[in-house]
Amino acid sequence: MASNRSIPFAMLATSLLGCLSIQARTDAAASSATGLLVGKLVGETNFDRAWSAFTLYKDESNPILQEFSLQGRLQVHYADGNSDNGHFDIRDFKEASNANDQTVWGDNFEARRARLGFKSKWYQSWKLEGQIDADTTDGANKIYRSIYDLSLTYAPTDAMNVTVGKTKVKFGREQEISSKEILPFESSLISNLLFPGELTGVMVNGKGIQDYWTYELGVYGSDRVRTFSGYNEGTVTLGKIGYNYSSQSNLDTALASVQFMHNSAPGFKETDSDNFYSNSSPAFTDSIALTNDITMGRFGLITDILYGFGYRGTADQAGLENSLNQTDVFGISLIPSYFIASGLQLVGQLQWAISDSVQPASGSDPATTNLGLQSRYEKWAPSVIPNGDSYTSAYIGLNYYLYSHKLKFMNGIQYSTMDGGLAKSGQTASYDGYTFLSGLRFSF
Amino acid sequence: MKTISILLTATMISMAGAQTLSIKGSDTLGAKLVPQLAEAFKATGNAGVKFEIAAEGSTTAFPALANGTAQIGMSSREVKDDERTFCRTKGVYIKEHPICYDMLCVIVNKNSPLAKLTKDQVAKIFTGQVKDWSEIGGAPGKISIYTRNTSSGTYKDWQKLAMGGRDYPSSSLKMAGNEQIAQEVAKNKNGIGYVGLAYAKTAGTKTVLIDGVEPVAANAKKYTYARLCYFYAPDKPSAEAEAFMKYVESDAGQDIVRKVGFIPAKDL
Repeated sequence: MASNRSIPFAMLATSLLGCLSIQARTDAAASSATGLLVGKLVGETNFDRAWSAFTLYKDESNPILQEFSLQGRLQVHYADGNSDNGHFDIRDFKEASNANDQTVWGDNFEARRARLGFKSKWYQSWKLEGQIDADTTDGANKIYRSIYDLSLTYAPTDAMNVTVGKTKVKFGREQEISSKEILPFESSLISNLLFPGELTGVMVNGKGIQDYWTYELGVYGSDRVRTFSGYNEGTVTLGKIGYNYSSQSNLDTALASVQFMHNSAPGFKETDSDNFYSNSSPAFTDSIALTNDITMGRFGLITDILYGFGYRGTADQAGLENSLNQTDVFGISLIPSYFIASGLQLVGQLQWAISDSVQPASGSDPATTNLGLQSRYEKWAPSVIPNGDSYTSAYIGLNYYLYSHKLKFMNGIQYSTMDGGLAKSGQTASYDGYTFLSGLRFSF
Repeated sequence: MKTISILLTATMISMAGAQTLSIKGSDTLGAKLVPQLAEAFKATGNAGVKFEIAAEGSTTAFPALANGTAQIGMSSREVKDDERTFCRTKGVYIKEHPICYDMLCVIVNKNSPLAKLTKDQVAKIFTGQVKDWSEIGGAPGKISIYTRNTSSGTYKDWQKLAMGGRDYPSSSLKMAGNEQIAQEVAKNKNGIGYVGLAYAKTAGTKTVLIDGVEPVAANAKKYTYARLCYFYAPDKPSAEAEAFMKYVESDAGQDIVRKVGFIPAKDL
């Protein structure tokens, strides 16, 4: 634990070190420098100038430090749902686990994401950045919850960036889009099911290869932990090849990709004494994604087609050897969007996912696990089986952008059904319900 | 037919009274090319159009378009996804208009025996890793590097295009513009510098082939230090912006592009 505590202090020290370098440079009176520390906020509007205050220092002509900025996000929302099995809301989510309790304000609002950190650019080609997950609830005795990411990137050209450290492992298009900019409240069920988390590793990526091609190859330790994952519990390997076809299609932007991910320790779960990390590594050995993302004027469409090969075997889960019997899963997610007025965007999300049928335990074989309802918030409907073999969902919402994705209101309603669950006494084998969400998202 | 169309649009603008056309962004385009295009446009019956040109870097083009303080954005690179998104969320759906290629040529003194360099050698020379011509097969002599000064966009562009983002050596000599670089290289047998295509034939200098490719207009697409430059405008531009962009794309406009030393996008 001592080492865990030392990391946020190290991040703070890095920030201060950056500030010292800035001060040394500002003494030299670089006229092109901007930022809060040099008293020069830039931008054409009040919003621009206000947000430019998060840039502490920026000067492209400084040979050592070109930029040092704060970064962060706060996403708070209200949710209320109803299903065949009854009413559910954020209170049910809060009471489900200690980890959930750490994100809920009162009983009705969840701080879905609260992060604070820094980003910096050194020697023209080096980027050092990091963020912590913050506890913003009333009773919090400390802000730090975990290191969300902390990485060093060497980026001499667009064609080659090398990143070392803890980063979000972005499998599928939905996960590639930052939560600052995602259009519905949540990623799709299938995307979340296969998402391996924020892991520590090495990644190489680039774009503009022969004008149109992009690539990414990364190897990460597969354990999802509060600080940095190691390689002793297995690895996640992710490879991608993409093609930018905007110029051939006359679309404003158009990117298609094929992605493959292999997990050598599916289902592994670290022991976490603070109950913060309740997630295990996805119980899939291999996953494949076909993605497409296009925009044209007011219109946009994000498409993910995902397949996961389920793992059957034993896995170390918080120190226990558990038997897993995960079925294969397949799903499609479509996110169409359209700006109906300046700053007002209509957003849809259509999901369809299937898996093999649920099988009860038989002899030494455990019951199969297949699709699981989303933890926000369908999973907490009363007396519902959280798993099934067929999931369909439709979301429609309105996003209002006060200052682009940096300050926006979101409202939406999601209707979903899950069928094929394994019934037990007093519980139904299906879910049929809707969730209303309303939230504010702020980032810098 | 195209000329008639431009004249008609111009006449309509003139009838509407004086209008201001605000153009912001790249200093590569805004320093010389766009002001000359603006003057020529005004001379074709558009005297009533008042131009406001702010050349403070490509990065400034997109916030200005999003905020409505520019009707046309100038950029020496493609718009980034986050910049396009910022515009979209503010109700501005930008369209891309390729205008010209900007080509940076490596020049040496005309008496240098050097005729060609690789991209790797250029990077090593301009970062100070190679200090003497003899290290790359030339006649012995300490290399003198001439660059643009730090306030120039081209100074940074060259760092990214040719130097892998690394820094220039402290011994490099900072010049005010292309002309000064060419003049100094012409006077110094050990000199090397980079200039725009229009200055590539300055007396006393010669260009070198990069990875076997000659820096001439016809090679703009495959020459490693060439880049496409753009106008960006809303999908429904103002009448003045639309007329000006049509003029730039016309034969008369493209002649000016060529004269200033750029390569018209339509030529390739």
